[in-house]
Formats: sequence, C-alpha cells, structure tokens
Amino acid sequence: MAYPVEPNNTFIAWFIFYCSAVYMCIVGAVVKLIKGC
Amino acid sequence: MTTAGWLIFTFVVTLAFYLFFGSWLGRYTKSLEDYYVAGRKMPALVIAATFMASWTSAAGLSGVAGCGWNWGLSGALWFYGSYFGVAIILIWVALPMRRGMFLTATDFFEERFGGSSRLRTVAVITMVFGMAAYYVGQIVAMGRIMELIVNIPYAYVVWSIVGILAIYIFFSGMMGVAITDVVMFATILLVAVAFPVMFYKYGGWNGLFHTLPQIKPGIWRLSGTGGSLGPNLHYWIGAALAYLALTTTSPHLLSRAFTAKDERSLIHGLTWGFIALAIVLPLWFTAVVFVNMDVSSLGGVIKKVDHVVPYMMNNILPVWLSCIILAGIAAAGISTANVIITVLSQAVVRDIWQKLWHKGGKDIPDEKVFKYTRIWVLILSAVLGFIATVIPARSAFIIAWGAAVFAMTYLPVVMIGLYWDRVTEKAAFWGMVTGLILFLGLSTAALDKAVAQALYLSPTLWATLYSFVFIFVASYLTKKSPEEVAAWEKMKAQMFPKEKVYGTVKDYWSLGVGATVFTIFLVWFVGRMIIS
Repeated sequence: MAYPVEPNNTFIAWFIFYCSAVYMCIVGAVVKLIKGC
Repeated sequence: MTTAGWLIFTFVVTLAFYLFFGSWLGRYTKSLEDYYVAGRKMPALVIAATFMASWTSAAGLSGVAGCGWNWGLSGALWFYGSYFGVAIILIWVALPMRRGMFLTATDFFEERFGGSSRLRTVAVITMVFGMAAYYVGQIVAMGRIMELIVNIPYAYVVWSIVGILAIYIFFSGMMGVAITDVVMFATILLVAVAFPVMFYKYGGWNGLFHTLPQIKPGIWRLSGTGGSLGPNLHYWIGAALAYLALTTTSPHLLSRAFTAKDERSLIHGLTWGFIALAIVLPLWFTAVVFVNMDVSSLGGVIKKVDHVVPYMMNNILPVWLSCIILAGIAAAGISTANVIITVLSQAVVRDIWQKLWHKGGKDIPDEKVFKYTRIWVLILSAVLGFIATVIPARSAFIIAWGAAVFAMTYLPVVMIGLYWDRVTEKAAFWGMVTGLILFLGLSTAALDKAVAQALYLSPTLWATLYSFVFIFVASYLTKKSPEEVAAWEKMKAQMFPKEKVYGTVKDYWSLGVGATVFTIFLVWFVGRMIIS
C-alpha cells in the first residue's frame, strides 16, 4: 500500500514548540527555587 | 439500561454528588477567609486541581475537540494559547500576588496605586462583565452539550447546574470550590482513557498516521485540513492571546494563588497540574480525531463540530467509557463555573458594597460581609441562570468576549504594575478605560466583514497592544502622587521580600521527575509520528 506523503514535519515542530510551555514552567519553577522565590 | 439511560443516570449522580459533598464541606467554612480564599491553607495537590480544573472548560473538552476532528490536532490545540499563560503566571505573577495577602483580585488595583478607588471601580466593572459573560458562556455551552449527549431539555440542564452550584457554594464558598475541584480534576484526567480504546479499535499508529491522512488529507499538517488555519492565522493568534491573558491575570484563576498554603505548594501545584493536563489533552483530542475513521465529513450524521463528541459517545465508545467522559465534561464545566460565581459574588459584596459604597468599610464586621456574599451567590446565580436560558448568541462568542476583556485591562496593569516602578495611577486608569472602549468599539465594528478585513489583526490584539503602549507613554508624561509612592514601597517590600524561600533536594527531585515524565510522553508521541 502506498502511503500518501504528509508534510507532517511542520506539525512536529509546532507541537514541540507548543509543549515547550511545559518546559518553560518546569525550568521556571526550578530557577525560582534555586535563586530563592 | 440503554446508553441514553446510563448517561442520564451518570449525569444525575454526578450532580447529586457535587451538591451533597460541596454542601457538606460548608462545615469547614467558618470565617470570611475560609469563604473567600479557602483559609489560605491549600496544599500543592489542591492547587494543581483547582487551577487546572477551573482552566479547562466543558466547551474546551467538547467543542474544541470537535475542531480537532475537523481541522486536525493543531486546530484543537490553537485554542489552548493559554499554555504559555500557565508558565507566565507561575514565574511572574502568582507568588507576589499570594504574598500581597489580598482577599479579591481587585484589591491589587486599589492598593498598588495608593488607594485608588477609581482604579478598583474600573477593575470591578471589567471583571463583573467579563466574568458574567464567561459564566453565561460556560452554562450555555454545558446546556447545549448535555442536551445533545443526554437528551434532557436545555433549560432543565441549565437550571439544574446553576441551582446545584448556587446551593453548595452558598454553604462552602471558596473552600468548597477548591476541594470539589480535586474530584473534578481527577474526573477530567480520566477522559484520556478514550485514547487507548480508540487507538486499538482503529489500527494504532498505522491508523493514526497513515490511514487517517488518506481519509482526511492534511489532518497532520500545521495548517490543518485544506489549510483553513492559514488565512485566519491572526484570528487564532488573537484568540490565543485572549486566553493567555485570561490564564495569567483573570480573577477566577489569579484568586487560586491566594488559597495556597505556602509558596512551594503554589509552585508545585501549578507545575504538576500543568504537566498532567498537557499530557491528557493531546491524548483526548487525538482520540476524537480518530472519529474520522467512522465519519469524516460534516453534514451527515455529524452536522456541526459540536456534535462530534456526542456522536462518539453514543455510537463508538463502550457505555462505561461514555459515562466517564460525560462525567469529565460535566466536571470541566462545573469547575469553571463554580469559581466564577464565587468571585463574582465577592466582587459585588466586598468590592462594590464594602470598598466602594462604604468607602473602605472598615467598620463593617466580617460576619456581615460573609452573610451578604452568601446571599449574592444565590441572587447572581438566579440572574445569570435566567440570562443563560434566554440568550440567543453562540456560546463560543460569549466566552471569547468574556475572556478577551482581561487582555487589555488586567494583563497590562498587573504585569506593568508588578515589574515597573515608574507606572502611574493616571496611566493605569486611563489605559484600562480607553483600552476597554477601544476593544468594545473595534469588536462591534468588526462584526462587519469589511471592517474586520481592514483591521487585519483581531480587535483583542489591537486593543492590548494599544493598552501597553498607552500605559508606558502616559507614565512618562504624568507624575506619581506621594501616596502612590508610599503604597508601592510598602507593597513591594511585602511582595518581593529579602528573606527568600529556597527549594530542597526533594523539590528538585520531584520537578525532575515531572520533566522526565513529560519528555517520555513527548518522545513517545512525536517519535512515533516521525517513524511512521
């Protein structure tokens, strides 16, 4: 079966960008606790 | 019993549970602080649940998931522009706000600017209209969804939800909101169970990344099917910004920070709640995207995107799972509405009656404020419930309007007010007022398609941009009064104290585990897409 070629790499990039909000939150929390909040 | 019978049974049991459990919690609500800010003693778990459950709405779980079915996962996730808002509130807003020891969010506006009652007035007016619109939007959305799913007449659904909320919040206030939100958040997370069920039913990864794009080309493109997100990009950015502002500074979410036991509970609560939801929502949306395997076009058995989730529950999922999802959607809606009605009644009694009408009202005893707030929960519920039953507008429009008013008012004043010493009361006041007027004018004018096109960016974006610029420029042109300077010095010392709270090894461990869990999810989900 021939699969249609999906340009899904744009989606992946976007999805990772979106999920980076979670990392921003975790890193923010760690930095706050290290530097003293 | 039929599927419909089980669903109605679940709906009734869910509501009855919240009614009795919520009212029972009233026994722990003894003081005004209990009723307004849950006694300021909520641990991390409760903070996670109450913030995230209030943040997730019924329309989000149902209508937005339907958008994902039609336009692809990016279509669904766009609505969650507030993702970054959670990080912003955690890093910059929640901690100083908690240290301010406010009872309501509008306290900040008055106290920050040396007892400016006109700033409190405009903050309260914005809040009452924004939150009332948001409440009505939630109730309308819930009524429509439940009408579709359980086939109970719209008005019955509206009045049963409004009534149950009014009764249990009358008894337990913010304490009841926070604790019942824990149950609701757990129920919301359970909707993710739909993912494995749909996944195995429709051919796993192969079905998701190969068969689905054949049925619906573009489902995994950034621009979605037919590139429909492309031309409207500015609209999506405007909506994302509105929700970001709502997440960062809206009173119903900001007030979650006031309830925290201590600073570390607040940090952990926000982070862990966010991680949980950021895993569950894409799974749930993807489960709904799978419905395309069964029905892939609008117009037949699925007439609107709002009908996708009800269709899935009635025709695809096993009954037990449909009941779980119904409970999850109900929990998402109720947990948003319960806190809004609480902060609205607080706004009427404390902000308008005590602080503005009685000019501070220091001689009014707490018991009186407590009693009146309870009565206003009932009055507001009756009024807004009535509006919800008669309003003709589409719920998404009402919610979007209610969410948007915070973007050009609360967002700039809170952010600039916290981090820029130079800002003046005059600039903040006139920035909020003119920003709001500009937004109302532009959004009314933009109902005309030609005007909307000429604007290019959404009214929310224009008005927010204007507000920020105005407040900066006007602060340079005006001077602060001595009261303002003194008030901010006092508040700043309290919000940004010299003695700091540092994390312990346990804190870093648990946050590290959080980061790992999320990374595994991301690699698993996106990695499979790359391999496919």
